[in-house]
Amino acid sequence: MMTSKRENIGELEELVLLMVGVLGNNAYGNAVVEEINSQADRSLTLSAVHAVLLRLEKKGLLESQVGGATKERGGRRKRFFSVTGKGMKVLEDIKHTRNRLWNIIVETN
Amino acid sequence: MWKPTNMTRPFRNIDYDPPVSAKTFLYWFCSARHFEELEGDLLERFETRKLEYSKFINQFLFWIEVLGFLRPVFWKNNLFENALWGLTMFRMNLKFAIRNIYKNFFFSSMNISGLAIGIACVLLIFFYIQNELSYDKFNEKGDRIYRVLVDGQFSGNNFKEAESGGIVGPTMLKDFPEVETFVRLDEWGIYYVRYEDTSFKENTIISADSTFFDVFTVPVLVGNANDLLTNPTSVAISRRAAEKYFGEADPTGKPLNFDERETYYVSGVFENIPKNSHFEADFIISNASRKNIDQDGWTNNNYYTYVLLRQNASIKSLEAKMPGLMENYGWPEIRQFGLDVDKLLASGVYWNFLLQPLSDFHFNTEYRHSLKPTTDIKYIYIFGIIAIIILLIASINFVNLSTAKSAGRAKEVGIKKVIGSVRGELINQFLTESVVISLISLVIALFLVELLKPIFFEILGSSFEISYLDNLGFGIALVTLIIFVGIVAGSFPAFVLSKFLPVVVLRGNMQNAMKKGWFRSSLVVFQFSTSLVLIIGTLVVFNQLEYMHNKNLGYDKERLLIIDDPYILGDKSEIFKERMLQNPSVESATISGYLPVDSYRGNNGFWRDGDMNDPKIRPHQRWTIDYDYFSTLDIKIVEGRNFLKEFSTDKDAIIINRACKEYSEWNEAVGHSLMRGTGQNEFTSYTVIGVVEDFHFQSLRNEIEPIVFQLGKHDGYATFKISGNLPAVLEYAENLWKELEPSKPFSFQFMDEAYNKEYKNEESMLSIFKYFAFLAVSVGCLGLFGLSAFAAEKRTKEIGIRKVHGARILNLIYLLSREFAFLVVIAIVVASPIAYFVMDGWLEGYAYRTDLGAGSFILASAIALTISLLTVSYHAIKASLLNPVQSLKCE
Repeated sequence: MMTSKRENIGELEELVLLMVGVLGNNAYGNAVVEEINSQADRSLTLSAVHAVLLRLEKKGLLESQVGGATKERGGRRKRFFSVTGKGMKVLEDIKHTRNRLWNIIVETN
Repeated sequence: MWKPTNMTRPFRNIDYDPPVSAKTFLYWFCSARHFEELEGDLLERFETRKLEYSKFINQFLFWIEVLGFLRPVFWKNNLFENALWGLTMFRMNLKFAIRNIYKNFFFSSMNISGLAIGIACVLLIFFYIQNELSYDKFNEKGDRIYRVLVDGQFSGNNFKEAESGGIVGPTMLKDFPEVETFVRLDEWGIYYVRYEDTSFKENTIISADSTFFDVFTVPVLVGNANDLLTNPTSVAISRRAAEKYFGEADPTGKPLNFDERETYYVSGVFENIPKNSHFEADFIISNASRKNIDQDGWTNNNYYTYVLLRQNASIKSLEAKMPGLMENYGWPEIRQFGLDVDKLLASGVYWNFLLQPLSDFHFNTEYRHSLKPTTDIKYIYIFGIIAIIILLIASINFVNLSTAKSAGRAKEVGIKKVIGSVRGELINQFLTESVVISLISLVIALFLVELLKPIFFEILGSSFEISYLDNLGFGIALVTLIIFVGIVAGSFPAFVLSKFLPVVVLRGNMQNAMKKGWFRSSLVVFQFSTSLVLIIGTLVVFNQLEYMHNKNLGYDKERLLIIDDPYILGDKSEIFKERMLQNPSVESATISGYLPVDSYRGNNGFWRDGDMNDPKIRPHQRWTIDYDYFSTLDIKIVEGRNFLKEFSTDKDAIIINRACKEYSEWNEAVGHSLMRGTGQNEFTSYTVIGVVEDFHFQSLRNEIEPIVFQLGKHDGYATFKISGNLPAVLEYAENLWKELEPSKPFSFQFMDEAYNKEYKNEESMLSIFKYFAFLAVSVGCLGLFGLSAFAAEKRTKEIGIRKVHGARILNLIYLLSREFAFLVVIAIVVASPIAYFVMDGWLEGYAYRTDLGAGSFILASAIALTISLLTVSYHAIKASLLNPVQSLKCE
């Protein structure tokens, strides 16, 4: 099977990547932060999340486009992120690995 | 965004924007690709938070979030290039600054030297104050150490003592759970300490309880701290003393002989007690050697008692219990002596024990003690104020000179602007220049500190270590302050000059633009007022000292040689006196420990004419003297006669001084008698046979008190009246001493020097005033010199025209000087009342004082005027002598 080199991502990167997927069309920096803070019960700073988003984009797991300026943003546009095919593949790989390991735990117990 | 939780604060103001500075900062470092989205997210969050937080907190959080983006991923690519560009400009400015300093060498050196002197003063004073405040800080348990003070009144005498009875410490330990332990110190005075053949005169001997090392943090080098002072024959010695007496050898167990009377065995060695401790000790003898120390009475003042509080013990609750000591023990003890305590208390007698924290020991001037000289906290304040004033004067100079000088640089600014310089760049250039000047001053100041250190220590009469490394915080503060002074001084030229329109400046209308000199004038007035106050202060202190030196003291202090401690000679002291008198240069001799300078003192209560109910009983000085005392000191007998060898009854006779006669309200003193207690329920009456004229035996701060002279032997000092060759007499005396007692050191002093020693405080105050007045005046003059140069330069053309029209040089000097003379006159008017108020307050402290006449004020004003006019006239003369052809040609 022809596969490109496996992309290893960290726990925080995985979380952000998942959240972008969860948020669908509305995945911009601030929304990701809010979502993580409420859904995953973690307190991340804006800058940390933005840094991760940039890194994921560089790795090709996310892609982005700008738009959606509002008044409360002082007329500034947002950068919306969406998960690329490669990104989805990485997420699925992680999920499979985890599931397999979980199954082993259940059997041995 | 409405949330019910915010119902409590429905009226929160939400009409505000995020801090512009934070946004600008973000814009400065953030790359263009990310800036828009990041700012948008930040603004959105900012808006959301408005309902939840106050404006202040919200803006603070905004800043925090902006700072969060300081990660390289968000940075501009050329961020560092930009920073480097700033660096290049800075280097340019630095170069400009140094060139300008060099070009205007005269002005710059005025500026730099004035500021350097100011900074050096501040540094020295800072180190002094720091040293003073460091006293006793080496004690790790310092916050728990308290000293027991006595504040009492008994038989008409006020007691404010740092020493208390020996029973106080043990009783406090027994009764008060707050007290962990106590230690009593006692000063032993001067002893000749001998080990085998090594003998020195020592004055740092104390005795202490075995708990000494528990209370004070003094490391023990040899021996066990717990039992160093438990044995009655033990003495612990300092490292210094161990090296002095025993060299490298182990001193443990070696005998030390004190005055050939007592022998103690060295039990251990402790580290030298730091210089900044409130007591000195090289020999600590065990208090166990003192029998009955624990029975020492409640109203005695024999021991410095220190208590160590338990951790977490409350000093308040201990203080509240202190009165219980007298109630439960002290007054009952007095009752046992047969006195009616209730009657005493009703008559205003009291005796309170107070607790003094360790941090106050070094500044204790109120409670009598003899450990080490303490510092009046007033001196700390005076020094601090002087430091601030000098720095202020120097900074004002700096501002004045920079401002004045900048007028000459208007053209430079004009041309720079024409060529295309932006205002911000010009501001930077001027600020860099003045900051460079102030930093150069700082470096020079550090050298000055090293240079002035010896003089400063001489003024203080003490020295201390100056360590820059321990003062990093202060160093940073100082550099910041200096840069601040530089920026303030440079801001006038920076902000005002850079605003000028090139057209106006280049056309040469600068003079008009610079005319507003009132600010500079008022600064000059301030400088000279402070200088004047210091000059007047110097003169008044000087007058008072002169007054004290020249005052007729009632005895003749000249040509009196005092030989210390003739008691060492034992019975041979009389032989010493007789043999001394055989020298033709010795006119007369007396042996007595009671001298009108710092020496022995003793007092007793005296009842007049055997009347036990005498209401005027008060402790009088009681001095023991011999037959030749009055003749040697040249004290006049105004009534009756001196003690005479022919009258054997003179042993029970007394001579009193005039103050005693007046206090006793006798018209004729001879024939009256005074009675004193001479033992348990035993009283002796003494008949007055003579009255001597009053003489000063204390500092002139005090009134002359009554003295009662009695015949007897007290060989604390031997005093000789010398005529003729003094060195020969000294040599004779020393040889004689060596002959009588070869093993003991011979030491002497002169009465007039001993007298002057009493006024060491005033002397050092005079030096302080003298030096600082000198500094203030010279820094002020530096400024004036610069300003007058500027004024003369400004009016070069005017002077040229006046000369052409026939003005004489004197007229011109008058023209140029009168402006400054006027300022100095205003300063005199401002300074005089302030100086009068301050110095009159100082003189209040003296029972015998000079008048605060107009003399000092006139002299000080004359000095200030003369100096300032001399300073100004240099440039005035220079300008007036200039050939008008030259001065009119300029421009």
